[in-house]
Amino acid sequence: MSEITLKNICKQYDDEHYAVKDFNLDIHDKEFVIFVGPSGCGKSTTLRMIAGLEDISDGELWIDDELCNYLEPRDRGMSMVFQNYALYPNMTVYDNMAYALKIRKMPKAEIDEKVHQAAKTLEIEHLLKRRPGALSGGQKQRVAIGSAIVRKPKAFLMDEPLSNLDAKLRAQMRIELSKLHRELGTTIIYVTHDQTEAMTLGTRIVVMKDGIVQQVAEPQKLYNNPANLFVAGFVGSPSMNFCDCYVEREGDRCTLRLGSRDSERKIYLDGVKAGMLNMFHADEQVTLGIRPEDIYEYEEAAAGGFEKNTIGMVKKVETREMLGAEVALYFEEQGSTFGARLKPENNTQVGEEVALYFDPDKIYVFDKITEENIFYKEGM
Amino acid sequence: MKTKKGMNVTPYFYLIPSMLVFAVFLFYPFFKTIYLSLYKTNKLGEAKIFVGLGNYTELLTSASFRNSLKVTMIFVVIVVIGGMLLGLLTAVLCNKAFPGIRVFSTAYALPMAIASSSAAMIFQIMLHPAVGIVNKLLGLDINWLNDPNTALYCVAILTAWLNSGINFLYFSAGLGNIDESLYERASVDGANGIQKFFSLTLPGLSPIMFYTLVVNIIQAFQSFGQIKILTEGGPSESTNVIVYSIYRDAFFNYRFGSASAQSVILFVIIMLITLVMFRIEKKGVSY
Amino acid sequence: MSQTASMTLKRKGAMTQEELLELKQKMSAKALTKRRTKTGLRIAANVAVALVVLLPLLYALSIAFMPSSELFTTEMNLLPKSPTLKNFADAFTQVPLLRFIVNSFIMAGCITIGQIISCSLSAFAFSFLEFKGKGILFMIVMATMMVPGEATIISNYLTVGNWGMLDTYPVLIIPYLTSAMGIFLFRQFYMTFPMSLFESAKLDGCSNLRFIVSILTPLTKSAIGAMAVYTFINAWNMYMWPLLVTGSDQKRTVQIGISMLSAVDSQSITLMIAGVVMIIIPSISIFIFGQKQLIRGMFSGAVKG
Repeated sequence: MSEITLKNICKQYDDEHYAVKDFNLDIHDKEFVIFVGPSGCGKSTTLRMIAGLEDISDGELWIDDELCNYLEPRDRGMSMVFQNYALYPNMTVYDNMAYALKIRKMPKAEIDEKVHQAAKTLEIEHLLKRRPGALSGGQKQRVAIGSAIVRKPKAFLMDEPLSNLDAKLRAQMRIELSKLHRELGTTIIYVTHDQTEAMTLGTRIVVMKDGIVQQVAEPQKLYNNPANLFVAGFVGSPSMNFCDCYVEREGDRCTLRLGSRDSERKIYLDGVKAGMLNMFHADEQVTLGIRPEDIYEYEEAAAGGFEKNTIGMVKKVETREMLGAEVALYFEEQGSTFGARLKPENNTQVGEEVALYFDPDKIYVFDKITEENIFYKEGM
Repeated sequence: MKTKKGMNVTPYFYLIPSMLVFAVFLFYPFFKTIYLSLYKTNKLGEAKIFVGLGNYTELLTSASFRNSLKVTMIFVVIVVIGGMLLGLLTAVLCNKAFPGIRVFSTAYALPMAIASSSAAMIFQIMLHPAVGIVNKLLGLDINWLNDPNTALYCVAILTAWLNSGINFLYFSAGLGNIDESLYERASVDGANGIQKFFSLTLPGLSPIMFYTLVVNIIQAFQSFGQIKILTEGGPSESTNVIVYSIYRDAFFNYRFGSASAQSVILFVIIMLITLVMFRIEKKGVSY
Repeated sequence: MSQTASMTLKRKGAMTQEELLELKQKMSAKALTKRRTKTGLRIAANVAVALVVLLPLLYALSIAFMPSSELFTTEMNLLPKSPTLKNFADAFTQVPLLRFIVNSFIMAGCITIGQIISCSLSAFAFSFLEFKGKGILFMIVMATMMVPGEATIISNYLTVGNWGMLDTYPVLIIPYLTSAMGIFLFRQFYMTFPMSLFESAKLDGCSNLRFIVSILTPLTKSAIGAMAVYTFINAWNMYMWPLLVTGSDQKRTVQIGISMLSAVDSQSITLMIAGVVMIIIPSISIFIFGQKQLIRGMFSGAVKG
């Protein structure tokens, strides 16, 4: 049972620049928390502050109701997996895994048992006598994880542990990590820049940018209910399309005009969304966001009996990628690329035009200045 | 440029300067030394009487040469251990950034820029029985360089000091090559400073440590200037290392044959030690 | 330690805002003290060790400024009471020190330039050209590193003696115009360049020599710098060979010349040390000046390779 609480945690290297600012998070027992964000967003720094490898400039770090800001790394009861594995090159795999236990003066027989048990879990028993230099990347990764799990730490801290592996191995290790988390039942705090890893592994995800937490949520909620433009664009693959549009009130309805104020390419919205836009953003410029998978071909959607809410979205195909289960088409919109995932039967070729339909339920609208999601539902 | 046979000779032109110097001042004299070692020579160094291995058997049975061998071994051991320990200590002290680190690193590397003869002359004054700082600081009255019990240690410590400069650079480079995240992992694993030093720092240094050891041994065998200036092999031959013995036999006693034989023996000793060390390294290589 | 433990044991919920603030301040003050103590200890240890390492040099510096009367006391005399420059001036009149310094500069300068040229040419051939016997030749060059200078010095002395070259500049310089270590170092650097660099230069009509001068040389500045510093210092400090082959003041180098001072008379110790200080200055200056180059050049290529 361990609870880790970060309260207003800050990291400052000089007076002006914050590497991490006001980081607040309660990590509950057995959670798999992911810190995700582009490089330089402060995610690794935060993890290293929890481990005790970086000083905490301001704020409080509580581990099981103890204030741990100034506790030495060795006294925090964490174990850590590093990006480059950090295996002691002069020790065998066995000694690598046993190191933390030997230092803690555990009886030999007990160490032996624990190491073998961990090695069995990770299927590296046959490697125990080898040295790290003789291992492949994936094997090193397993040894690094094995060295962490032989102990019963309060939490596992993992700093981009899969980023040095090739794509195939990464996918495989992802599945194993998930399984391991269930088997061990220990808190894992995991840093990655890869949103796929974050979405597939995490029970909760912390999205960071420039040292500031953007949103903390479960994967599905992060996807459906992003707090702002950055999170919306960062989460999900392929990523969300964005374009500028103007809000125009039409009674209860709301019209979004794409591009310019008098554009004939428009999208109608009804209901709560229209109400919110009409009330707070009438006549303003906003950013519209829609995921490629929520765009349909007009005719196909019409056959499905949809509301005619998308007018004049006829676009010329710039690139076409046949992906098998679907076809990806790319268009130019306001200077940037707009992608759509359509049914594979769609036969529009490059240079030809296609009429598109945006699923109104899946449209996001972001404030032009604050970049916040206007439809964001608190506490969802 | 091609010869008629189509063989490209251009590459050899680029090797000529180096190869010429090597041939005249290294290969030729090397074999000539071996040749001379089989002869008795006249004062001009011309081979006169073939004695086969006579020079060698004479040497190996002479008490003086056996003393030289013993003295050399003691000298080399002290120099290598002392020089490497000092280099390691200073490198470890400068391993982590702190205010003034650059000044200190320069200070620790500085002995490598100093000539053995200059250093010897400074030590001569430092160890001077009447005015020297060593006796004054320690409140002793020892004639360091004239006492057979201390003279060898004095020249050995001086040499260790001279070698410590480059050892500092080697070890610093070695320490820099140890991955910082290993130390971080060890911190999280619970290791303290001493445990980290023995389980990470020392093993991490072992590749460069080996190289440094070989270089130090070879260098220690070749020390000359400091002995020539400080003790001239004395008192009572207590500092008569092989190199000095060669010098004395050749240029004072004009026994070039015997001196050559000693040179060959020195070469064989150094070569054997180097080969054995490489053999050991290959076996004990950890990664 | 026990105090820290008891402080951290306080429950989160059971603390008022003020208590928490106080606790945090206490702990941060403690951590700061700890860090300062650590840095302080590190600096103290460094000062102590540096003093020991530098003691001979500092002592020499001090004596060089001492009037010789001051040296001969039984009292502690670490620093000169009435510093004087007389020793330095006397050193120049006692022996032709200036001549020695010029000789050493000529010798060390020529050796340095010569080694850089000969070693880069050889290393170029060993790294970029294909020829018969390349592997064996390179092995032979590397094997020369194992031959101690003393194994050849007698024969070399006899050789140059036969040629009537004793006591000349060439005899000081020529035997040291190449070095296996230099060839190895340059080759180590050249090997990091792809063969395609050489090939594309050839396609552009670049001759071999031009390739070395205009492409390789600028790219290996750090290796050349390291070589220059290392070779110059070693040549400047050379002792045995100059001792054997120079006989007159006209050709003596500083290291031999200065050791003659020690033989003059025991009253001139201060003078001799002043001389030593003066001849150490060039090598130390070059070392301090070129230290960065030396480290970058010698250890970036060599250690990784």
